[in-house]
Amino acid sequence: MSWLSRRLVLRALLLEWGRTLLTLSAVALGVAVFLSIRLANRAAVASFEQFTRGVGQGSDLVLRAEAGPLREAQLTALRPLGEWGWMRPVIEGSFARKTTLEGYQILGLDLVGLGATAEENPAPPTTDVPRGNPTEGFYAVIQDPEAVLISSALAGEGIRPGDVLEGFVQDRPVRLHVAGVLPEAANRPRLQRNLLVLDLPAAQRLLGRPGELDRVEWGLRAGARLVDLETQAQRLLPAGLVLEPPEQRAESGRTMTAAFRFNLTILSLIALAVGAYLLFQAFDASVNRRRETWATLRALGLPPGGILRLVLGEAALLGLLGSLLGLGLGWLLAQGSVRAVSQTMNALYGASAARSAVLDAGEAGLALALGSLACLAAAWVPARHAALTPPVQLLAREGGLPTVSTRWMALAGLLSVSLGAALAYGFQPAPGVAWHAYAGSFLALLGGSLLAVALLPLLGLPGRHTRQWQLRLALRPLLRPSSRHGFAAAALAVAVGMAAGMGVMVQSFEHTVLVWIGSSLRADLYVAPIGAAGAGSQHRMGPDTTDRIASDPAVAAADRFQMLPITFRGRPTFLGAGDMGLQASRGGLILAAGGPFPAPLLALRAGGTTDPGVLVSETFARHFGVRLGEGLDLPTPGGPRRVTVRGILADYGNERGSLLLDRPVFLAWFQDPQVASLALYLRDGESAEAVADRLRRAHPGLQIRSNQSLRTQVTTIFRQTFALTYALEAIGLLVAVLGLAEGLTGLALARRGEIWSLRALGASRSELTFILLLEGLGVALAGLLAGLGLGLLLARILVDVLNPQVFGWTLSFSVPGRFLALVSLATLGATILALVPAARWGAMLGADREAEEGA
Amino acid sequence: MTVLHAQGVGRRFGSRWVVRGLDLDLGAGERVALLGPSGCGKTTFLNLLGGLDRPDEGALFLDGESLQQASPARLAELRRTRLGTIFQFFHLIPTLTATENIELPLRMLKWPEAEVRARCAGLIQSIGLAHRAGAWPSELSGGEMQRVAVARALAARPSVLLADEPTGNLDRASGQAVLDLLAELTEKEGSALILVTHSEAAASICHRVLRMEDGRFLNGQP
Repeated sequence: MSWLSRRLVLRALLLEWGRTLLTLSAVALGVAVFLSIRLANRAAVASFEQFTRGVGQGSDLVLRAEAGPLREAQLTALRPLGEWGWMRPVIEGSFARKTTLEGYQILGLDLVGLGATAEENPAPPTTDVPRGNPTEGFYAVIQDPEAVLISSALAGEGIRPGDVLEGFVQDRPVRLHVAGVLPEAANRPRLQRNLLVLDLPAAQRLLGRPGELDRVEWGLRAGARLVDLETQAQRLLPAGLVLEPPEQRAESGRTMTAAFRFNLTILSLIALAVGAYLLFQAFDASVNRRRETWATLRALGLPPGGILRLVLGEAALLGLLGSLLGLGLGWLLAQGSVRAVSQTMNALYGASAARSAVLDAGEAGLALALGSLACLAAAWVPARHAALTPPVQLLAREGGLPTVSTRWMALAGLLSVSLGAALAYGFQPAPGVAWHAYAGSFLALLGGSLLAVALLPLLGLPGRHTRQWQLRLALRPLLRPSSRHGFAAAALAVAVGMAAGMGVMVQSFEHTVLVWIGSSLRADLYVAPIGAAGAGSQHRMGPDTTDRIASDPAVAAADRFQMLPITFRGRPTFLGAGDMGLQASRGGLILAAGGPFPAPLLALRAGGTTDPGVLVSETFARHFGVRLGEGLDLPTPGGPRRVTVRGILADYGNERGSLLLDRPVFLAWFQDPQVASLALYLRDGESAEAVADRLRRAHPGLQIRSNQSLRTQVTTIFRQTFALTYALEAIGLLVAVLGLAEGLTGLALARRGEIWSLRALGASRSELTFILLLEGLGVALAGLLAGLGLGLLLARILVDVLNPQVFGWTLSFSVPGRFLALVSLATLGATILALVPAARWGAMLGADREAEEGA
Repeated sequence: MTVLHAQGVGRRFGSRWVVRGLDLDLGAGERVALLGPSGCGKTTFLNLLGGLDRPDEGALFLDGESLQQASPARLAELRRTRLGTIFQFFHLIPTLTATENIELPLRMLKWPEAEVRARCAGLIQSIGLAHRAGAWPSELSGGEMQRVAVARALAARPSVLLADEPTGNLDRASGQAVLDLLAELTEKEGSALILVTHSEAAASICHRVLRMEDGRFLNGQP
């Protein structure tokens, strides 16, 4: 580091430690938000993939049924393939622990077979399970039908071999014996914490599914070629079974959660972008404050490149230090946000159990590079200004900032907003593709920020006519706003616009979902196994239990609802089955197409298996391009069945979409008497709470919720899902407000001559503070007003275009007045809090400067 | 009658005394020049006299009132009512017109509207800029800006006018015009003047000249 750098950069940073700390905080905050979201996303997705992958690692192909279970008997046709590959059958299920009611994944594997294949597979077919190691409890697992192997993470919580895990499988109380701990492989990700491994026959028995499997993993024998195995398998494959590469399921998980993760990443980038604006303000103010220094250096013969290097060197140093702070802060934030992301993914997609986020060198390097580059980019314009402006101009004390042409800004803003709206609404690409909505939103954001600048002269108008001197001095600068005024208003408009837009969208979503729930949930009580969550839940109740509950004297009618994951046209979706007769008479499904309720449901009941019909969710219809009246080939254990789409349902339950069959048809085709949930309609005069209490005592493995508590739970999950979004918006707003305060100090610096003369004329510190504060509030108001307008436009694009296009959800637009008022008050409140110290500092600026000059 | 009294005034920045042991008595309507080379402490002394800075030692009185003991609010009020200041670099408010700049101290004092207008009309007439009354500072020449600054400083009829190198940024002709104006208006308004300058010619409009060097008056002045 040169003498000049040490004296002019390091010393300035130390002397102006307050500004240095503010800049470092801005860099650290931006990097931390970005990093924490990345880490949390990665941890949650890794956990999700681990969940979907199960023990799939090491296998080359996965065999599964298109719909319903895979039967062991179906595998006999594939025996001739033994010379090319080995097979590993897998069954999965759920266990709810009694003490915590926490859900665990049961994995049934043929442990004896695994022991045998281990000899043939030098690259272990699965390192997730032990092979032949008695100390790990292997033989105990085989010999004891209730013995399980647990993960090392669970063992780390104090559960030891020999302990008993009490809980429920489906609706039955069970006691599982911990026989051993699954070994961890050094070169593999850690096993998920809530994994319980059983021997296959024991798992089948425990889950009440003798002879059934969920999938078969297939690996190549030494010397065999995958293409041969695939060719032979396709030739012998029984109808209803599909072969897919093992990555496919994980890939579908990645795709499925991509929209959610993408939204979070976009939000974190916005926080970073607004942070970059704050940095720009900081560097601009810093350069402006030392313009005499730059001018003197230029006058002494330092070339422009030298000044550029000094300013950019300072930026790089701050970027590096701030990013290092951001690494630590980001890691800390990630530990909190990983839980929020996991909870959301669990609620939306049914599987994720990430507990902590890990920071690796790649992520750390990316964050460091991002923070440093953001600083360099933010400092580039001020650095060029310092380097290229003639020294005389830099020394001119009355030299104000360049003003902006607000007329052009207004025109360009309106044009950009109109183009954005036209782009978002004018195109209709394939379902799932939404580039036009994102591009339209970006143009709207750009236009909104320009309009915020154009609003400044309007807010400055009272300053033209008032005789009140403080108002005059505070508002006049807004009539001909400088670039710094413009930047501050634009950044606040973007932050407010994003917060208001996302907020209005979420509130519209919530309003729509509440109306949907109000109409759909009509039963008095809802019964499900403990631990069931999300459409992908594997918790089930057997027919004995459901019959017993349905025959309770207080129950007038019971709707048995089953939900299965199926593969339709090569993509994962869900098949549901319920009692259409009961739904028609007592339910209230909302139909988007197919005629008035309950006509399509009655048509399904009337069609039976002779003219079978199906209802599809709006999401399903959009994703698969399915229309009313269309015939679909539905995969069933007995082969594909032709069904006609009789209606399209509004359904916000999952984004993969679903098909709905009448229960008698489902039973006939799938022979599956289990149910995922039970809706009970009570007889007149029965107390829902009293019946629920009685049922809870009789069925401790079931969760029984009243209509009201289920609605409350759905609302809670909904709000939990968007909690992180709100947190990110709040950070974005905070950064923008800090930027505004930083901007105000810059404005005060630019007006220091003015402030000095006002003090000499007798203006008190409080009067000067008031003037600067009012000027800042004028800028904030412009940002707020433009931001609110922008937010409403963004919300319309999100509701009308993005949600239907990406998720297939039609939402009703509603403007939450209270929410917008809250955002406005919070913004103005935070602005005042941030501006008061900045304005007080600015009010004393003149005296400091003169003092610095000595005599 | 003494309007401004300084006794043993000193000010230091860090360990260095910039001015020390300065005594001054300024009579009503008297014009005094502080003459000396750059860095001798003229501006620092002026800031102390104007209540913009506080001395580390000594005492200052304006119309018999101690400036050290005055609260910041009282100091601001004194600057508003009894002191006028003119700077080398004019420091006009760029968002106010020439007239509005002159009006500013009166508006701060909440003068009645009619009086504000009458006072400003008179002042802008007397500085010869009636035809530029609505001009923005950026549209005025250096000399014109300083004339507006003089009018602004005198608007509230202060007892003391403090001028810090008022011609330092002007050409000779404009500078002389501003000095003539200062002499004429202080005479007319009855204000005392302390003129900080390093120019003998500028100092010639004053009744008394105090020479400074290294933060002290030369030869035991005054």
